Amino acid sequence: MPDSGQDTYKAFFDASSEAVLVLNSGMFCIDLNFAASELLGKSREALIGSPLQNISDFQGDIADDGFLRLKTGKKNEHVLSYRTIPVSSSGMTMLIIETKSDIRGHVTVNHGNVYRNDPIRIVLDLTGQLMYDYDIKTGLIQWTGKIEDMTGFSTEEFNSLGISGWEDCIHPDDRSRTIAQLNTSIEQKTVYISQYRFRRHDGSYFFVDDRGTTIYDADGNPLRMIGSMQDIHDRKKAEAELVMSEARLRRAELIGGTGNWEFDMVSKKVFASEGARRIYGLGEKEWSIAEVQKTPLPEYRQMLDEALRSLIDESRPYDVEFKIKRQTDGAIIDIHSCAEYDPGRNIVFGVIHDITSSKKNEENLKSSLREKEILLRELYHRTKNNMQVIASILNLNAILSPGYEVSQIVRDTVQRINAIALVHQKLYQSQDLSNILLGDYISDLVRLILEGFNRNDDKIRLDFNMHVFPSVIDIAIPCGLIMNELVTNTLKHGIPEGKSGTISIELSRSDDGRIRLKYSDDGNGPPDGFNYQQDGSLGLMTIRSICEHQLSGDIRFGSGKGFRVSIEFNDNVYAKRV
Amino acid sequence: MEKQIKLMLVEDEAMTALYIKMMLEKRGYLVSIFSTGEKAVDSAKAEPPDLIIMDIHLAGEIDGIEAARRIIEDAYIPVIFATGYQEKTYVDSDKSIKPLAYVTKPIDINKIISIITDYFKKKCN
Repeated sequence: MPDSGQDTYKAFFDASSEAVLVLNSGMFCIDLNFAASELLGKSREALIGSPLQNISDFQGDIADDGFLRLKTGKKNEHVLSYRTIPVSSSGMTMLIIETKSDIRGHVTVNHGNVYRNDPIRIVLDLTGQLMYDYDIKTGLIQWTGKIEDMTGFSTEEFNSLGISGWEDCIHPDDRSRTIAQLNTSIEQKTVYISQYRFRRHDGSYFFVDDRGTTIYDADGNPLRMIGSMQDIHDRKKAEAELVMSEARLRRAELIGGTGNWEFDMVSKKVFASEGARRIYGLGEKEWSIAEVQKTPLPEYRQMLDEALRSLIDESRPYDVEFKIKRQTDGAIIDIHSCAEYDPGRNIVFGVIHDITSSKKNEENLKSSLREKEILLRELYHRTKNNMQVIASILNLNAILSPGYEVSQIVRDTVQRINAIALVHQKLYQSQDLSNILLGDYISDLVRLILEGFNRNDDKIRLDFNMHVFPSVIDIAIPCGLIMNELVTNTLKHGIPEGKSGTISIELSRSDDGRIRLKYSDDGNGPPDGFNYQQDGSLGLMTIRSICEHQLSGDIRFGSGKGFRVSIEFNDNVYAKRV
Repeated sequence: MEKQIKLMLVEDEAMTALYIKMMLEKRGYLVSIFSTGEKAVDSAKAEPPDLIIMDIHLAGEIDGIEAARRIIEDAYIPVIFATGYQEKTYVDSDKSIKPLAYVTKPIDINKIISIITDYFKKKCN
């Protein structure tokens, strides 16, 4: 053990892993330690007395710290960081070269790159990088750069982490992948590249880009990895935001049925967003303007060309609606497109909106509105007609039944009004606004009349044989009025109160639309010699008039027991109104 | 003997037609009724009436306006239209018809009789 200050200094001097040279004021080497001798590849004796410029690219005054390029053989060249310590007032300087800061020398050896300048630390600072030298055998990692700024660790703390500390600082979600990438690159002798989240001293994480190259010995065993770790958190964040923003745009385009496009008026090429490609049915290939312009239906071509021309030449707003035949499946799509012209770039930028469903809704709405208008007019017309019918019935009663009691007239009129009202009730209950089932209506009407006469008991038997078919209201109402007169006649004269009998009704429609209505009762029948054509009662006049005039039909009165009548008419007298 | 005035009543609602016909016949007019425009046109071409009372909504393919237009394209015959308020505008849109008058439904028979009487009085004078 050295026991004097001089010896202590000497032992420390020689044992130091850093290369130390003692320079006089003329920058000649007057002493050096073992590490320096080893680094420079020359004996201590050979180097003492040599000017510094002989062993490095150093020119002029030496700074407090910096980098030196050292030639250590025919091929090897080291760039090492150094610091200087003035030695008392003798003018001597102690030059301490950090041997482990040697980075480029090894890179040069392995990849043949030759660095012309030395501002590594400046570059590290400017680019936010840390450089490292990982001793694979010992697991130690020597870091260089603004360690504290980037990681929050002091240089000492950080350099003491080693490989296990480094692994520990990797985000748990990224750790296994990153370690695997490192090991694979060492094993396969490839450049190591990994991006991962690294934990700062305060526990927060930031994204880094980590790249390294492995140095192997002559037997191919890995010795060291030289690399850099760069803070890419802002870039990653921006990239993530960009990805998110693009995803939002794609989603918005999908939900909204929109897309955007650019016409490059110089290259004649088209940029189409994912949404635009989807709407137009364009594949991934590059499209020309001419190709895309084939998608709109031909009848819109002239209008679209003119709109584009006036946008570019006259700055007129481009706001058009047209139909396209989608290129993938030939579907016809309604498009709304707006565009702006950028004269600086000579591009037209536009947005398209698939308005097929809103167009369809608009059409449905218009159609519904039209139907409602027609319905309202029809309702008005029917109401007016029914009022007219009621007024006419009352007027005819006044003319033809002067001897009738008022109560009798009122009851007859109410029955006729009920016959009309029942049609409207049936109409309201049906899905159709225009048709009701005629047989169903007649059946209900007969029962209603029986109730009106208080004859809905077992004495009147009903024998119905009626086909089921729909009929327009304009047929149903006159049929109802006829039925009202026929049943009323039966209940008043054929089978009066206290008598029993049967009312039979047959209703059918032939394929050619001929409707046949047969009515009969087994009651008293008309008096002998009764002339159906000349009878002036309102009931018979109503039946004849409606059948022959309104329905343009035929009426035949039968003979034999009871009362029999057969009516035939076509169901196309009235067209369906609604 | 004075020639009986022939009226054509085009009305597809039987009870109304029956009532108007009876009331006009009481006043001495000869009334023929038709429920469709087609039948009315055919009859009027064969034997023109002196005046027509025309409903607008009719059974058949053509409405009262079209029937009137076809009838008067050969020779003018005065037409009284039985209309609703909105239908008056519809009739007026066809400038070729020039109706004698409009009556609204439910029809006031006295008003019709008054229009007819006035018309023929003026015509005689």
